[in-house]
Amino acid sequence: MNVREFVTLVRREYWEHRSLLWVPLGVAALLILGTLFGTQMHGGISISLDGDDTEYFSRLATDTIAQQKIFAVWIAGLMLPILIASLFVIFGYLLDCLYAERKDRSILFWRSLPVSDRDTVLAKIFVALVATPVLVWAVSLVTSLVTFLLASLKLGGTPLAPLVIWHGFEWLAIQATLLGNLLVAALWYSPVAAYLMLMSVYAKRSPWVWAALPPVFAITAEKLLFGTRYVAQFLAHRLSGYFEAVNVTVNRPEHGSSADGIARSVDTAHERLSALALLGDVNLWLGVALCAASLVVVMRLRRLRGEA
Amino acid sequence: MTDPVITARHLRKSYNAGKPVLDDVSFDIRSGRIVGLMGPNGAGKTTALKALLGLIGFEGELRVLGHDPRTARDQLMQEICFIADVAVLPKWLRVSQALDYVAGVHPKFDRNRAETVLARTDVQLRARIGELSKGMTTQLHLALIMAIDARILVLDEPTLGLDLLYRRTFYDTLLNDYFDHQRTILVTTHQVEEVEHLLTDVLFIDRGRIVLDAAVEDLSSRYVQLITSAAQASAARTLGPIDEREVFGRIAMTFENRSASELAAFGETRTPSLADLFVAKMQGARR
Repeated sequence: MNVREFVTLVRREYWEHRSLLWVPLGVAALLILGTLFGTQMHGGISISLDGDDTEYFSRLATDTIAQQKIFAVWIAGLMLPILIASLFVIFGYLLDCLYAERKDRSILFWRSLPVSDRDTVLAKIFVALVATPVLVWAVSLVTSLVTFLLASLKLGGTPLAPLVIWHGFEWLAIQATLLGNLLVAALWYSPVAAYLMLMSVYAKRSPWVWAALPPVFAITAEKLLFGTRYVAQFLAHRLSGYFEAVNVTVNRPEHGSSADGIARSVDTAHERLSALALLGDVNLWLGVALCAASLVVVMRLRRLRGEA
Repeated sequence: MTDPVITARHLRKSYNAGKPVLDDVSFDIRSGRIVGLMGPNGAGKTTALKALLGLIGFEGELRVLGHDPRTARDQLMQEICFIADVAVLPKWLRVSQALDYVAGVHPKFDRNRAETVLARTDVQLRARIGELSKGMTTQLHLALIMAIDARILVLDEPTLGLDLLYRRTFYDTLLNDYFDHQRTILVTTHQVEEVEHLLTDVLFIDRGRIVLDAAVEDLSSRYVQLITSAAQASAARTLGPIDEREVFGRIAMTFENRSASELAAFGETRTPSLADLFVAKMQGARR
């Protein structure tokens, strides 16, 4: 497989599944419009000024470190809605990507060209786990620049002005962290992606139903036979694990609403911006191994399914 | 004689342990020939083609350009082009994207050539395939295929569902602009009349078995059709026709391995058309 062929295979996926492109762009556009017209800030930080907030912002005006932290939390938070919307689209993409070609019989055309099942499957998983996450990152990068510019025009000269001081190094650092986070997320979710592809290549119809049945069956059977919920917990952890590791919502009640409390909330959020720690979790690597094994099965099944 | 580009020996294939779709099929196809693989629906034509293209597994021995299609499909697909019976180009793809795609994955694709062929049609580069008529989709497919410098072209009922105008143009384009004696074309169809004038060889297949494998130029020496009257028919019948039917009160009999001079005593003789021969062979195989 050469680079040109691989790039062509990847482009082909975006031709077919255009929502992989326009959903991240659409959410970014909404975020920008929200900044333009809204009174709320993004990234889970809702700010209504009362006495404590006023005190917080007057302190923030002189505290560069605190400014950098809230800046980083804000920029990181911008990516969340784009990422979450894209995850749904990627989920749908994975279930469709090996099913649609059999449904419309175009598999006969694709397989009439010198492209192996291996390359086809690799290009599809690449779109789900690398190309689209990198696109999400790039879109969020541009969004952060545009919303920062808009916010600084709106908030300059107000008590919130300390929020819109540009921190170039912090910005670069957080972009690197976010890109790293997405690649960690890709590794964490890779077994889920491979499972969805497996159902996509296997299902004769309704891959959504096929994908839902085994976990629902396993959870119900466990509940009925043993009265326990280990399968459900295991799956819930696999689905939410990345978001457990990364938490950029500023949880104010935990620390109280005093100026100190707000500052501590921002500190806590700032400490949890990076998901790199998840790389130390053996479950992540077991998942990657499971993904690799499943993909081999997917490649074999695509050939067998093409026979019918 | 050139070496065969396709050699099949004792091919067998059955689905789900049912009756075999291919039952001990053997044949050779030589370079530079246009071979018609013909048979009634369900005879095993498409299965045979799928085996050649490495799309299905099978038992037996098969070499296509020296490769076993079961294990070397990807190399093989650089040398073989394929158009299936129905439009299998995906509806969401734009014409320009189809060109981009084939150019990206096929090392032997000449994009300019495909665009030149398309320029002679009404197919717009911006259009999505779902917006094209069936005839235009086939024109696009043909344009893609003709721009690939392949050694074997496989056509599976390529003109099914097309109107006469498109069918005629399809084969004319193929013959005039594509075929040269370096290439081999293998075509399946049950519209025998349509391809009769362009074939060099015929393979008839019925219920998974080859019932005729011959060069078109040899057919006239192997098969004779006799047009005779009812009165002379019974005498002619003693020579063992493989098929007999009544046409406008006269009787047409098809003979295998009988000379025209031997039959001339009973009436008028001629070389049977491919369609007549097809019917004779298929009915003969059923008796």
